[in-house]
Amino acid sequence: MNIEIKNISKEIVPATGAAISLLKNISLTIRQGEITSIISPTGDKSSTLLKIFAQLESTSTGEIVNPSGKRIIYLPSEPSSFPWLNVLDNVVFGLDHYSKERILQFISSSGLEGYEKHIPHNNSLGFRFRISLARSLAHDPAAIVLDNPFVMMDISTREELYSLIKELQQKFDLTFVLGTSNISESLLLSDKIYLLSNDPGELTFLYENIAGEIHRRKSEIKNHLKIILDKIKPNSLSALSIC
Amino acid sequence: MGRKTAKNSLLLSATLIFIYIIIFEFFLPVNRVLPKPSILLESIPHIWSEYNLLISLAHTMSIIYFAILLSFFSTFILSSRIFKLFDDMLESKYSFRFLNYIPPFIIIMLLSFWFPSGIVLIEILFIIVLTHILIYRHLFSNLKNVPEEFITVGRNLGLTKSNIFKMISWKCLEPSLIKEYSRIHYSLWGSALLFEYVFNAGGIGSVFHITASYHDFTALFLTAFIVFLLIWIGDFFIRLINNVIFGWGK
Repeated sequence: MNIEIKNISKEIVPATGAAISLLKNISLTIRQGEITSIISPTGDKSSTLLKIFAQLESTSTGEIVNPSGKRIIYLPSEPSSFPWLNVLDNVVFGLDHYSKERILQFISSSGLEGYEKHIPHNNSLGFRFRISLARSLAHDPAAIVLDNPFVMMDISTREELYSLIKELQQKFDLTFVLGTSNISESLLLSDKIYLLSNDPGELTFLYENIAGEIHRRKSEIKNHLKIILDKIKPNSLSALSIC
Repeated sequence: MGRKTAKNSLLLSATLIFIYIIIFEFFLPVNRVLPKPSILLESIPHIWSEYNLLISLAHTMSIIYFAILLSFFSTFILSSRIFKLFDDMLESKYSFRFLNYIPPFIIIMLLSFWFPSGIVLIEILFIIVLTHILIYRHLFSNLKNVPEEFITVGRNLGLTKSNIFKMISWKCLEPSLIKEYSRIHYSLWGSALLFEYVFNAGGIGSVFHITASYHDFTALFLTAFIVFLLIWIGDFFIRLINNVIFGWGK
């Protein structure tokens, strides 16, 4: 089922001074089974928006309509698997009831088969991200919100995880919302691309991957995005990585 | 402590003991600095019976380790309430900073005036309260070090505040808590010895009081050596627990 975000605005009122608008009139539809990217020159506003999607932050106005009633899982950019639990316990964390068979399927689908009893305190970011993904699957989510998750990873790990996300999306008909500052990443993964401007935080629809359009016109779109971003904010490209 | 450091530490201790034996057994058998090693050995059975060392050791050690265990379990069991308390008091934690400037010695002296007939119960209470103060102070200052992403995950998965504390914050704090126990273990020994010395009502501190009043230097030295060994063994076990159970915290 689709998730509707209707007219979300967020203002903060500092102790001294007038209210500051962080996000302004944001509306979008997150379609079931799609990967929606939100490109943002700086991570702060997109993080706030993504946390609002996952109902971890409040809004000043607007609403999120999630008809399935299932949880929207948020994965932060830092590894969020717990280093004191083994992989299996990490995956079932927060669940009261579960089918072990199904959990093992999620572990296997996330590339962690054979590591069920492994404690991940010294593992790579990629490994820990896989655990977080498996845990998200175990919660049968309405959507998985990825907040710049690959930013600290090396290129080969990123590429492995891009493939994994695509695989999981197709296998389980998963819905992802990806907050990123990496244009190439968003072009590679997304079915829909939005741009979150810096000041005020407004969301603009840019591309939809109809009949592989984004992948076909990759370099053209990349240049177009550069131009748009230059207009939004001078030197904003320095904040974005284009691999 | 790494294996190499432990080995070096043992080697250094063995060398110092060897030097002590050589100097004070053969070159300076009569002096006012340290007792002759052979006299020390001969004195062991005498000190054991004369000063009731076994009972005194049991007295001091049971109070210290009971207080440590009690504080660990009480902080865990009361964790959700403590969390709420922390939440409310976090902003005013600096109000408690004055506690850092009150040495336990002052408290002990005050207690000796308030309770002139020193009783074991006061010592137990004193050590328990001291342990709790030191541990809560540590929790206070370390709660902010719990990674924000873990708390976010807990909230996102629908955990209650108290479950977030029990299942996430507490687990994150455990390794540093055990390290803190290793640190306060030494302070607790110091405070217990001081208390017992001032009150002179049982325990190893009391043995020190008596040996000092009798000017029995050999007994004092030997008791000090036993206390050193016990603190070292206690610290070793706390570190062992930390390495075996909370190894992920490294």
